[in-house]
Amino acid sequence: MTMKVTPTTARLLRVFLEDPQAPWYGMQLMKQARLSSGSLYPILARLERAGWIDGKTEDIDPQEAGRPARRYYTMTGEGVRAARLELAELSEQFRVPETSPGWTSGALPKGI
Amino acid sequence: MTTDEQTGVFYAMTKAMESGPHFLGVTPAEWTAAFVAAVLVAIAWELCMALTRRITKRLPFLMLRLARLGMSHEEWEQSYEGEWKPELHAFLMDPECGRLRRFLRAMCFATPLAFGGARMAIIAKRQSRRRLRDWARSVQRRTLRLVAACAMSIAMSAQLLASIFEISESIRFAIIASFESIAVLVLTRVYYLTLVERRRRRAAKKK
Repeated sequence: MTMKVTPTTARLLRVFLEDPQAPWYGMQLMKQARLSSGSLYPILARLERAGWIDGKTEDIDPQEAGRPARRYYTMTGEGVRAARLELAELSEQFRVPETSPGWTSGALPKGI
Repeated sequence: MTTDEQTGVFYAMTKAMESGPHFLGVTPAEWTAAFVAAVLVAIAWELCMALTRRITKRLPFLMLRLARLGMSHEEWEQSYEGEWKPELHAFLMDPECGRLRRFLRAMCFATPLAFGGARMAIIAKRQSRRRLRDWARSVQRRTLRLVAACAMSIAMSAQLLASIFEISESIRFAIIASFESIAVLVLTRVYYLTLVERRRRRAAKKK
């Protein structure tokens, strides 16, 4: 399933793609991607809906661990492939054109 | 010894005689008062710290509970218990930060969710369910239309069947009437579902 990749989503996807097999939970993702909770959770919901990530609740005993079970997210195979494609496309969109104006080190355009 | 010195010594002797022994120039009664005051201040300090700890641990949870507004009970339970509460615990128990920093980070986690983030996340989750629901509704309508078409065709072919198999007039009438009524009822239901769907779409557009 396709989804619109905004720059904020791209930041999150880059974190996931650092290690696609690794499970991440919300606090880690917020720290790594430098996102607020208000941005993170809607993006996670969209990514999960698109099938790019898979959310699973940690299998622990809260009494023993002394904390509630967290929800971990992992990238799916399809998610890794689609995310790489989308990030490459986004990077291409934001690439500086080769014919840049005069502040680059190349020769000045005619008439300046 | 001058007169002033004599007066001072006399005053000290008089005081010692009046109030008994001294320690570091302070009477036992004053020591007792100071000790009681110190104990009271220590208790008050500990109470304040306990209260602060309790507030700093509870305030982020209270803030996060504001996010419940505008969410159904099921959605709230799923998101809060399954996702946000453990995250808030993780922020409040983070060993890398001090107490104040942990509290501030927990508040930074809870506040955006309370003021819109939670609602946006729920809407993002709902959209997939809505699509599934819309698909189920369209399948339901199509099935009902098929049933109506079958009923109508049986009712219409009853005349032909009656002539082939020499069925009596009353049975033929009963078959036609029953299948036609089934078709009418089903088509009415389809029409009603279509109207409801249109209204829902209009309401969604207005929103």
